[in-house]
Formats: sequence, C-alpha cells, structure tokens
Amino acid sequence: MPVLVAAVINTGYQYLSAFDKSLEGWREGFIEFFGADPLNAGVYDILVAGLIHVLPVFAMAAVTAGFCERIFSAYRQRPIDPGIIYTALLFTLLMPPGTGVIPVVFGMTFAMVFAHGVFGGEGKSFLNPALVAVAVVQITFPAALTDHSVWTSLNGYAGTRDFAVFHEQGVDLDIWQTFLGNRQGLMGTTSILAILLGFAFMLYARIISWRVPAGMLAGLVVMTLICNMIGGGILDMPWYSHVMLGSFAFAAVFIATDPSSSSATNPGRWAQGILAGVLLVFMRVVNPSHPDSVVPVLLLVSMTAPLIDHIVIWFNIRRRYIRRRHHG
Amino acid sequence: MQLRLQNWSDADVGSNPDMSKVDTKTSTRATLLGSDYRGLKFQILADEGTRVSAGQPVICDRRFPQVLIASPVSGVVAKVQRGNRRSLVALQIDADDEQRSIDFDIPQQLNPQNARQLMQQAGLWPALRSRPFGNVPETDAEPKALLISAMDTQPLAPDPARIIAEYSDLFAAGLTLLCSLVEAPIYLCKSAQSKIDIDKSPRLQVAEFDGAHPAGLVGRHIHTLCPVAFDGKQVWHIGYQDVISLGHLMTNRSPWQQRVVSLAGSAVKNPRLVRVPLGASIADITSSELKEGQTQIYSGSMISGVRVDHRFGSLGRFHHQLTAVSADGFGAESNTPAAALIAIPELDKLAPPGILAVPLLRALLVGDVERALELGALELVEEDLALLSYSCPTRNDYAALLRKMLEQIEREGLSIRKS
Repeated sequence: MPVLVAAVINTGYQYLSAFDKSLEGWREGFIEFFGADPLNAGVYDILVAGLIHVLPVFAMAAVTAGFCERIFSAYRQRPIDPGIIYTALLFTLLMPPGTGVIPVVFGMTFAMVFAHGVFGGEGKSFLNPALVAVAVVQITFPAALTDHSVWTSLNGYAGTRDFAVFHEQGVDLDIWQTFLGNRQGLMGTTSILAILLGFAFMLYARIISWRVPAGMLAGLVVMTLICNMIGGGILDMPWYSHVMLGSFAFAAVFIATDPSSSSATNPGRWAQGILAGVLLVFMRVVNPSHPDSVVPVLLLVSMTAPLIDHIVIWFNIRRRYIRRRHHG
Repeated sequence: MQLRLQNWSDADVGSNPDMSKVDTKTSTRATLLGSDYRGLKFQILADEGTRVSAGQPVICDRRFPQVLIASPVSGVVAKVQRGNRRSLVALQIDADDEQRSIDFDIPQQLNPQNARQLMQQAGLWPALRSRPFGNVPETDAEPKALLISAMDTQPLAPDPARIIAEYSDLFAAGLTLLCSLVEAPIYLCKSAQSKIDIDKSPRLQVAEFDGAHPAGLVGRHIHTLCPVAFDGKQVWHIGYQDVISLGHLMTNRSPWQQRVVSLAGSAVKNPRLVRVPLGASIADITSSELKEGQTQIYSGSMISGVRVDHRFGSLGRFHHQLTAVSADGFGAESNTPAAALIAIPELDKLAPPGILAVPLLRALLVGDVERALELGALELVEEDLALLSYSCPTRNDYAALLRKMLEQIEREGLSIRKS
C-alpha cells in the first residue's frame, strides 16, 4: 500500500518525542550500540532513537499478522493478502511508543482472527482489524500502554497527555508545534502535517473518499461550537484543538476511510463522517476517562455503516418509484 | 443544453487516429452477428449457398416478419452458424465481384406508416434500439423519445462531427426520414465542442453534453433528457452512421452499406479512419496494418468492445472503432483479482447517474434480481457498466452479469414492486 510513504514521514517526526527522556533498558542499549548520543541529539540520534521504538512494534505486529493470515490462507486455499502489512502498520502507528511484546502480539492475533479471518479476509470484515486490535490492547492492557518512561502520564487519565493537561489546567496548546508533531501521543498520530501529506497522496492515488474525513470535520466543528456555547471546563476547548489533539486527524484519514468498514455510498459516507465527528466530541467532553475516544467512536460508527447504506438505498429506490409515477 | 460530467483520463492505449482523411478498405466477407440484433427470433431466409444481392433480406424475425436484416454485400451465403435453442451466432456472406443491389421505392410524401415500412423493407429497422433492455423495437411500438447519438467519448473513437461533415447531405436526409417516423420528441445528442450543421427543424432538438468518457454514452443522455419510466414506455436511439445510411436510402434508393471506423490502438502502425463494408472481417481490415508481436483486438473500444479473433472475427454492427493493442502491454492480466468487492470511491465516480454503484454491483454479484431492479438495472445496458468492470479491482464482468439479469427480467416479466 502506498500509504507507507506517509507513515514513514509520520514516524520521522515521532523520533522527537522519544529522545529527551531518561533512558534505561534494552532500547537504550541499542541506541548506545549505534553510537547515538541521547543527551546531545542531532538528526542521526533522533532517527536511531525513533526507529528503535517503532520498528520492534511494527515487526512484531507484521509477523503476528502474517502468521495468522498464513493459517487462514492455507485453510481457505487463497493467496496471502499483502493488505495485512497495512493493517500491521496502522496498528503500530496507533500504539504508544514503547509498547511491550505481549500487548502487540495479543491484540494483533485477536484482530486477525476475529475481525479479519473469520469473515473471509480483506474487504469482507465489517470492522477495521487494526482498529479492533488497538481497542483490544487498550481494554486488556491499560497499564502497559502508559508504563513506559516516554510517557509523562498524569494520574487519573488514560490516553494522550495533551487532553489530560487540558482537563487539569485548561492550557491551550502551541498550534504550530502540534501541527508539526512535536508532542506526545500515539506513534503515528502526532504530526498533522504528515497526516495531511498522506491524505493528499491517498486522494491522488484514488484509494479513499474525501467525504468521510470532510464529514467528520464538519460534525466535529458543529458539535464543538455547540459545546462552546454551553461553556465550562473542557467544553470550552476550541474546535481546532479537537482536530489537533489526540488521534482525530490520523483516524479520520487512515481508519475511518477504510472502504470495507465504512459506508459504500456517497451520501452514506457523509452521514457516517458527520456521525463520527459529533460522537467524538460528545464522548471527549462528557467522559474524562476516555480523553481521546477515537477508537470506541470509530468502532461504533463502523457498525452503523450497513444501516446507513440501507437508508441511502431506501431513499434511492423511493426516488425511482416516485419518478416512475410522475413520468408514467 | 449543457451538462458537465466528471472527467475520466483513459490509460495509454495508443495515439488518437488521424482524422484528416478516410482510407477505403475492402473485405471479402461480410458477417451478420446474432448478438447485434437483440430481442429478435431469427428465421433464416437465405440458406447456405444462396446468391444474394446487397440489400436483399437474409434474416427475418419469426414473430414480426416485417423486421428484416439485409445482406450488406452481393455474394453467396457461406455459413450459417447456429447457437443454443435455434439462436443465431453468425451468418457469413462471401462477397463476389458483381455489384448487384436492390433499389427501394421511396414514397413521395413521408408519413409515419410509410417511413416505418421503408425502414423495415430496407432492413434498417434493426438500426433502432430501445431502452430498457436494448432490443430492436417492436414494429408497432411508439417511443417516448428518439435520441440520435452523435457523440462518441470512447478512447480512440472517431469524431462523429468529422464523419457527419463528410456525409452532411445524407445525414440531413436521414434526419428528415426520422422526423416523419415518430411523433415523439427527437434529440440530436452531440458533444459541446463539436460543430454539426443541421437545418433547424421544430421537430429536432439539439442536446449538448460535455466531458470525457462516459459522458457520451447514450444511457447518460437518456437519463438527462427523458428518464425512462419502465412501465411499458420505451426510449429509442439510433447511431449517427445509421442516420447516414437512412439518408443514403432516401437519396440513392439503397442503404449505405459501409461504415467509417477508427483503426487505432498501440499495435496499429498508422492509426486513422478507414471506410469498410458493414460486418467486414477483422483479418481484411487489419491486414498489413499491425505491428509485429502478439496483439489483442477489440471490435469497439478497450472498455466496452468485444474481444475478437484476428482471423475469424468481424466488426460489430454498432461498433465504430477497431482497437488493436499489444497483448504484452495494456490489458495484460498480471495481478490476481481482488477477492471481494471493495467500495472504492472510483466506482461511485464512474457509475451511471442516479445509480448507487456498490449496492447495484453487489446485487448483480449475488444474483438478487429484485434488488437490482429497484436500484435501476432497467435503466442500463452492458455499455453503461463496462467502465465499472474495467476499473473494479475484482475484474468481475458486470456487463455480462447485467445482461443475464436483464434476460431473466424479460423472460419472467418481472417488474418493480410497489414499495
């Protein structure tokens, strides 16, 4: 999948968030081995430090996904589907830096079996396997995700730090830094710039529909404006912060647009996007224990896709019927 | 009237044909293909070995014997190839050196009755096709509208305006005949960029369409001008070269038995327009025209054309182009097809107007006739879905699935449930 290009850019920015922490453990051994200096970091040091966080997770995810797919393809007598690499990549990018082996293998295995294999593989599942894997990891290993020294976690909050800070202090963020990706967060989701590049590329390659992200943005803005009118605490968070923070942008571009788990009609794509945007803000502001909320919202919205399509089809049939009566 | 449709960039299949002049090529054999005359029950009037003149009927319809199909050349019926259940696959006529042809009486004053009769006698009635189903219209049917298609957006297609300009008198005479044929509104569908000179007539409305393929498909024009209601009402359409043929009949008392087609594609040495006999054999048209190497030949375009054998194939009745591409280049099936129909947005972009692409394709794939009917299968024929088959990663032949379903609908007389 050509999205890899965008992902590489994305991870490039991710190195920044990894380098200035206290270093101990096997990753640090590698960093020393490659001669990178963690205290006086240059481009090379950042690259090494970043790769040492991204590559092991991706490798584990890819190997696990490949193993599961191998079993299913042998059983079904179908060729192995290269799309699983993309699934593993998305999963990796939605993991926090420093995720352990067990969460990765467990989450990936669960998703490859129950959100991919049992439905017949690529294009036949109704949920995005990468998203299912992330959800499973978040539910099963909530502590493992925030355990690493890279995270400066605040007590009482899960997920990305920016939200927690906003909840506590109400500080606003540095828009430009966030846009470039210099912040803490899930590995692939921090840099809005890189995500936009990936978006442009996928639109150019005609893989995804722009309607889902556009609908999500519209839903998010409208819902945030409503919240701003009510006001108070997190409700005051402006819409651009909602876009910039957490994994909204990444999910809107790479996850929600997955053609097999989203609506198959253009009006449906709009409806689904708007629904996702509205739900996302709603969940973010009323539920502080889920500051990001992207994963549960998208899972929920994916499940509504067949229903939305059903309604769109019903309108299409009805319009044809009315036309028939008028012209008849 | 103008309407802008989504642009579609076609892949590199060779350079456009040179349209500055038209070369004439001859063919020793003319073939009438059964698949070009949908909805007819064939009865052979001239068995193998019969000597026929150009314009002499060789096939008629069993139920409506007035519907005739005439031989395009003077020669001898060489072969009648039958298919399943007495259907006709092909009827081949070997041309001889004589130029025998039949002259028809042209009525002084045209009215709907004698115009119909004239078209039927001369074997030009099957030039008309009706929607839904794309059949030859029944002899006593009345359309809701008649569309004259003078726009062709298929890749490497000839420019209709260029050919009409060469035969402008005949085209005008053909239009006169059509204007007296039906009482329904008549639309001349042309590209907004092209110029076609015709006499202003209150009966004839000019509709202009804009954009790249599939903007030129007659299904799109019907959808815009007069959506078919599908409760027994039909829309008829006829191609511009058949109008020229009608004009030839009016002025020279015999139909025009030739077609101007573009001979193009990456395997063609000198892509250009050629004038060939109706139903000419592929071997005669392409002799000394193709580059060395394996070639794939399509009667029609890469997208909606029919793959034909370069030795035994022939040009289809309604095809205005012959595409020859290198078999090792474009169209080579290298990747394995995708396992499942994935709702890529491209499909919605290329779908016929008002049609939900993915739900319809799913209904076609699982053979759900009722759902396909509800989603507008009757508004379509094969060529409307050709582009979807062409760009869908699964490489399903949706056009064939649609035809199978349309046949079932026709056979069982299904109609849309009132919902």
